[in-house]
Amino acid sequence: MGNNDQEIGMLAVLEQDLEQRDFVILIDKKYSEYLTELLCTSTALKKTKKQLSILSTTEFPGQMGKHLYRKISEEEMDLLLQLYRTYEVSDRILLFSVDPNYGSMWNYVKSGIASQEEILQAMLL
Amino acid sequence: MNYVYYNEMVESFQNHVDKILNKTVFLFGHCEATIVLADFLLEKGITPKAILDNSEQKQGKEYKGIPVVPPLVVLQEPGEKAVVLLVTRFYEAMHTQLNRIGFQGAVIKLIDYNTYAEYSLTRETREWKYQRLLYGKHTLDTLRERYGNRFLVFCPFDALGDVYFCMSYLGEYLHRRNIKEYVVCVPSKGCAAVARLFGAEHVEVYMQKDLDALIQAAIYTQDVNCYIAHQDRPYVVNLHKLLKIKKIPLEKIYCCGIFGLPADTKPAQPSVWKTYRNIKEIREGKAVILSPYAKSVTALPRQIWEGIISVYTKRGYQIFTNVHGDEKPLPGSIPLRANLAEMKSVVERAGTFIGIRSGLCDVIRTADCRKIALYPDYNYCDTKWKAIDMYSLKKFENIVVQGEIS
Repeated sequence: MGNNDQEIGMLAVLEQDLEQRDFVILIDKKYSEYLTELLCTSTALKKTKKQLSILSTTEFPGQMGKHLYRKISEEEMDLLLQLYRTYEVSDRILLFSVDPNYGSMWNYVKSGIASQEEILQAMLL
Repeated sequence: MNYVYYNEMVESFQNHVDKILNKTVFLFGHCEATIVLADFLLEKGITPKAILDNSEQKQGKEYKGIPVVPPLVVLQEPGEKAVVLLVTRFYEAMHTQLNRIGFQGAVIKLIDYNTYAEYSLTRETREWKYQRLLYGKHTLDTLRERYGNRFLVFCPFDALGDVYFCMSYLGEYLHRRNIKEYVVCVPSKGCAAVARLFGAEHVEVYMQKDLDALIQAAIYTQDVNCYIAHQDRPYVVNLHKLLKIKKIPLEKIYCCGIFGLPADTKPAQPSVWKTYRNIKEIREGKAVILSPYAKSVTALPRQIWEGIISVYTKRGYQIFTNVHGDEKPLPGSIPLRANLAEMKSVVERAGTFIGIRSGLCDVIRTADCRKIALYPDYNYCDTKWKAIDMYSLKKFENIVVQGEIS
């Protein structure tokens, strides 16, 4: 990673959100619209006692209640995803994605083991 | 705990001994590695005051008089007089927790179990983690040079049972993706032996930290020509989280969660067996093979094994202890040193196998004999599910052993 202004800015955002929130959720831009809608309209999000910071490249017009929603640019998301894939910065950063080379909670849904709501509930505990 | 980690723990202890002696010592995280550390400290004349643990199921228990207590108890001791020692892969999360609750004393990592994590965003941390990533990419490139475009399967953790489950479902996963040639990458010779039982032709063994870096590179590059086959390692894999609300046996996690296969998929069985070289030394149908050792499971009380030996001695059985490396046979038994590929022939010849629930039980799943798996009464990771809920075996007698944690 370099050290340009954009990167320094995103690191500051991440550091602040990790300090002030229980979880920071990154929504992968590849599936941004679908996953943002899924998470932000879920019962799990409404019911969780955790305070979240949700970072997405998609606008979401709905109410977020106690959670913080940030729309960021694709470049900014790329920086965060590169960082996430370089090392474990915190166990309170969750990536909502379908990375191709490891197992995914969404596989449980496909196999009928759990519903989407259960997956979201488990992730936000 | 394998000898590499044990040596690292001893060396690290010696490096930090000035910060530990004359302090009130706490350990964090009740697990097999912490038990090994507790034994090591007791041998050195240091009695830890408590084992801190977030799990309510574990709190209230004790090990050799050391109570398992909630982490907040650490604050009862002035920070300058206390030290917390850690030998778990959750060091970073635990260190952060101790800071958050206001613990001011020293926190010392004696084993670097988790090279993926460093809860810091400083430039120095990012740079050295990037260097680690470059090293991983170099290792990945070297692997590609050797094997071309063969599909790479990574087993990130040194546990025979995990590799057994992986290999049970890998074939079907590859078949569905029309992949014919693959390489399995593992962190130990034992894991490699399990992969070979299933006919894996190409198996590469790496040092744990090298494999970690290699896997990190695969994550970073999002290489679609490889797969990380584990339920909770490294940090990007979150399949275990569903266990917070649902009981899913580990085998089902592998089948459905890791490989995305239908729940009714039939597991493959190991097929590459050998006959034990000294098979005739085992009395046919009149011997018992005991397996008291496991790397990641807390040991059973010694009297359990003494009782078993007493019963089988009275019955006139020949009694063997399966041993590996420096492990000692149980008193009153004969040491047995067989390769994993020979174990099926051993237990079938003996007629009876009794072992702590470990990866060896998986290896001999298909053996035709009486098989008994003993489960210490502990919870799987930080879930409310017992080990027997997660690991119970078909065609075994599965028995939970009550008693003090030891």
